[in-house]
Amino acid sequence: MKNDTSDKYQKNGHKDFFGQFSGKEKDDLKEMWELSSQAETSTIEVSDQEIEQDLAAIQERLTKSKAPDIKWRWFAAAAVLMLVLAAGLLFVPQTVTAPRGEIVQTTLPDGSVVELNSGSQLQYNRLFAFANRDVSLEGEAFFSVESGDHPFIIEANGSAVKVTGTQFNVRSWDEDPDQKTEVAVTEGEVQFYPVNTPKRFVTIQKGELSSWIGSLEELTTPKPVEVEKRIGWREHKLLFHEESLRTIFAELERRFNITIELKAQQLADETLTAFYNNPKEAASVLKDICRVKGLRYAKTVDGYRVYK
Amino acid sequence: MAKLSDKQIRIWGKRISNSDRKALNSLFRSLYPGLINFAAKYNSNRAIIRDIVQESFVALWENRSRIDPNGSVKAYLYKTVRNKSLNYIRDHSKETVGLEDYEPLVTDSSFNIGSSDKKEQKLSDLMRKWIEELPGRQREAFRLSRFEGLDHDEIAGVMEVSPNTVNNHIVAALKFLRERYDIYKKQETKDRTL
Repeated sequence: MKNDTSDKYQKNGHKDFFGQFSGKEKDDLKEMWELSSQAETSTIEVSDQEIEQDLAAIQERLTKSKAPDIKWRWFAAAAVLMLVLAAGLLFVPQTVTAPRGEIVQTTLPDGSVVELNSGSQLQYNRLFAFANRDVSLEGEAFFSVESGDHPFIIEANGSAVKVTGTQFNVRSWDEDPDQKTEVAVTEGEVQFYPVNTPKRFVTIQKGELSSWIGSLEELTTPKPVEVEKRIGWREHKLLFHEESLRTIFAELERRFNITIELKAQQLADETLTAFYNNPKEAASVLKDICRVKGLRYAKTVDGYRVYK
Repeated sequence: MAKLSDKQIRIWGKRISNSDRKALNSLFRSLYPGLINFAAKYNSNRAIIRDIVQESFVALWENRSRIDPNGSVKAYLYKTVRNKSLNYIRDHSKETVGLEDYEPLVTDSSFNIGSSDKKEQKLSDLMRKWIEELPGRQREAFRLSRFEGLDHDEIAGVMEVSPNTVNNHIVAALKFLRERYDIYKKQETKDRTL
């Protein structure tokens, strides 16, 4: 994986650890650290079956002890109430969530309509439509924005989309390793920019897509794409165009509310193109993927394990 | 299996604090084997080890609303496993055993008979022996850092001391090991010249 280095002391952020020494002592201790790796005693093998078995045991214990936090919930409710009184209702954000396995549609106070893909979350403040039209998104959503007095601004993973009246799709998953945000426009045009450098915006026209990766400075130049494919999720379609297995499995996890464990991590970046109209279950999709990639899959308590 | 990035674990932690059971399952699958091996340093009974680790995941779930979503769920789990293991030792030994006194079990004793690399073999065994000779807290901090892949802040959380103390423990452990190693090297050279 990306951040892995062979030296644990570096990976763990104690890269400064040996910085507290100098000269021969530094070299000696560094060498000792390397040498000591041979003393590692990882003798207990835990098989996949055992993991599943013990996970099932935990599931049972958890269903027995449901609703554990009543006291805490009351406390939280009281705290929220105090906050509401103190802030005069203004600063408590409204949250709309689409649970995994569901698509949710919501109408905002200004009449704009947002469709949220499974596992996504949209937040906006109480001043929405009065003082601003700012929302934040984690996940994927299709926006049909009404024109209004204030620009409609969506913040996602450090990027922003600014519009007046138009239709477009924003895809920005926290769990994406690149923290990529993609914007595809189906009607009108939008401005897209990193939150910290609003001046470096690009204008995305109807039928175009631009993306931004948090670690890079530049947004991609908007280019024409088949935008209909980008919003197929609204009709429960699954469309993967040269997507990595990592991304595809994350999508299936959210769509079907399951977990998929990829035991062959070295294949996570392999890409695949596939299209499904309205798949009813993950197994049929997994079956195809596994056949193409020479993988196998097995049922687990809450989903599937994919292995070589 | 590839090592999971800290970022992935953070995302699962966040989802767990939002009551996402699937995230708990993913976390379980990736950390369970490591925690079993960690718990084995305190106990030799496989059934008890499994129970302690499972209980720790249950505790994580039940306390999910009190957990700092930006904090380390990994450190939380190691800390819980450690506390439960030490409690078990305390409750099941005749006299009270302080942490400083308890002797962890040496779980590794597999000798590769007929190995051509005798010197390497010998050094790794010695290394294990030296680590066992470390004072309890030093040994714990060193192991968590070297073998469990926790950073200083996480170890501080697990052992309930300051990161500075963790650093001191690890420095002292490394220096001790170095001393032993130097003596060993001197002996080796002497043996060869004889």
